[in-house]
Amino acid sequence: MNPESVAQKPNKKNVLEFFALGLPAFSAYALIILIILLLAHFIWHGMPGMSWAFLTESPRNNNTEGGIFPAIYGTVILVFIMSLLGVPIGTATAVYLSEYAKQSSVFARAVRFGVNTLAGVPSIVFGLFGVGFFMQFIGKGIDTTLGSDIWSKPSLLWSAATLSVLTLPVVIVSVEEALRTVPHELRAASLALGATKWQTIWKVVLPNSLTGILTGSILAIGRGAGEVAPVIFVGAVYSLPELPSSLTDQFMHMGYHIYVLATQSPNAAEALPLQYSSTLVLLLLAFSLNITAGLIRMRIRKNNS
Amino acid sequence: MSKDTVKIRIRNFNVFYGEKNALKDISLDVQTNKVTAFIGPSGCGKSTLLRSINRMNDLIDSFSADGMLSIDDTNVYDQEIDVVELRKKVGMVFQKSIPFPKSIYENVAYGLRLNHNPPTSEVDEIVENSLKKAALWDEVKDRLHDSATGLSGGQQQRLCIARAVAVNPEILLMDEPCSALDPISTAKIEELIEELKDTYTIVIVTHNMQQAARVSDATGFFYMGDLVEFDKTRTLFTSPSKKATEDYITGRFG
Repeated sequence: MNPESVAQKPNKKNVLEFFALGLPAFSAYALIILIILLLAHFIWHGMPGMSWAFLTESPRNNNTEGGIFPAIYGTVILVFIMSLLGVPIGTATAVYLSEYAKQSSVFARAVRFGVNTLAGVPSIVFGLFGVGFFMQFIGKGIDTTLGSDIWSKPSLLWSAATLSVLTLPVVIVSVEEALRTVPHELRAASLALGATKWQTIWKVVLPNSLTGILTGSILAIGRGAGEVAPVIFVGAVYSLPELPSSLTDQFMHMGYHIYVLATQSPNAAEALPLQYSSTLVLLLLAFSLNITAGLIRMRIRKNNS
Repeated sequence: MSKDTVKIRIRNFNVFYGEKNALKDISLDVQTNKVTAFIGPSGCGKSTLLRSINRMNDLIDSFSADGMLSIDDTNVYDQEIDVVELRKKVGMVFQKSIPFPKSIYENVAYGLRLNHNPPTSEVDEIVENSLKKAALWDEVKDRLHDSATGLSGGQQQRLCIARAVAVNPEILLMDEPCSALDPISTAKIEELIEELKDTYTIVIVTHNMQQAARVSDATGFFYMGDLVEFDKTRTLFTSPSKKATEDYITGRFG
């Protein structure tokens, strides 16, 4: 046996090894490169249009001039109301699932199944649900009772409500994860001191999961801020120079604004720079929200290890 | 107080985890203001019995119990018993001492503030007294508002004792309170147990037979869910009546 044949045998293995390790590594690098290219593309085309005026002015002349402030404002206020509605409900559900429900009970399983299903429903369906449930059922009900006609129309409130249902799974999963990291010994210590279950949850478990609740909220906001399909049905409008001043007002929305610029503009070429800049703003918003959530998560994990 | 009053009376007490009979027909008396130790190899049921006294086992879904376990002649497993009130009367110190991630002061004050908000001066006083009882006051009096998680392991365990005595219980249950501590901290806790028994009835579970011999007045030896022998500590360690007890305390098994 000469030394070469000894060296060749592992070589075959090395080829396999190369593909086994190389392919996943290549995919991972490709993903990072894609994200960088995407960002670079939008920074390259979007930065020239960026200005203080762009961020703070209303659109003019059929969305071909001016800024996007109403869209930024509309999106921010939308996700804010969405969090007010969704985070408490999501947190309560997570507390129920992790602290109260017996893991084997039929009801807990049904809730869990519901959460998972909710996460897989296409967002356009949530839009239709918003129209059917919030606008035509609840809104109509309020209008019939009060004799008004504003609640059964598309509005900020119903958009926020629709989005809060859409982002509920994100909140529930994050909060539940955070609740699980609270050591069992802390609960036992509190109960042994004569605290009730609710006191234990309120004074020990929830304060120790605050960062998790925060992460969940931020992830939900990140998700909610990027969703366009549902809000087209229930409240976002084409162009509206005035800011919404009440819950029943309609509003402009970043994602929808980009769609409008791309497809509905009378002069697409003129609107293109605006569109790039708008997209850049939306991207930066979504990225920074996700990065913040990631940083908070890292901190929780570090504190727990 | 007479010398031999019974605080906890246990008669024909059985514990089941699902089908498994974890404690079989246990009968023993815990004397007021004495230290009672439960010893035995892992899984013998000693911790289960300890946790039955303040009904911490209720947290386990498959748990069920029958027989009698009474404190001051009230059956702990009666329907009408308020578990929350029971646990205020029966404090507990755990093996893994985890202070709440709050300040030292807030840890001790936690139990006090559960149902009402006593005036600050009163809380101050109880916190100080509790920390003194737990022999921790001198070490922490200048940093009461620092985080409790910065304390050493031994200090944390004494903080947990202070936290438990702050709600003024009558009984203190200790579940292997020294198993995670170094010898010096252990000695401090043992000294503390000596002092605390003037005020409280103490039940301690320990893996450490020397510790049981040092700190307790009465000792029960458990094996596979049975109470093999229960006697005055001196008697049990010097002239055990059962072969199994002798084998265990002389280190032949376990």
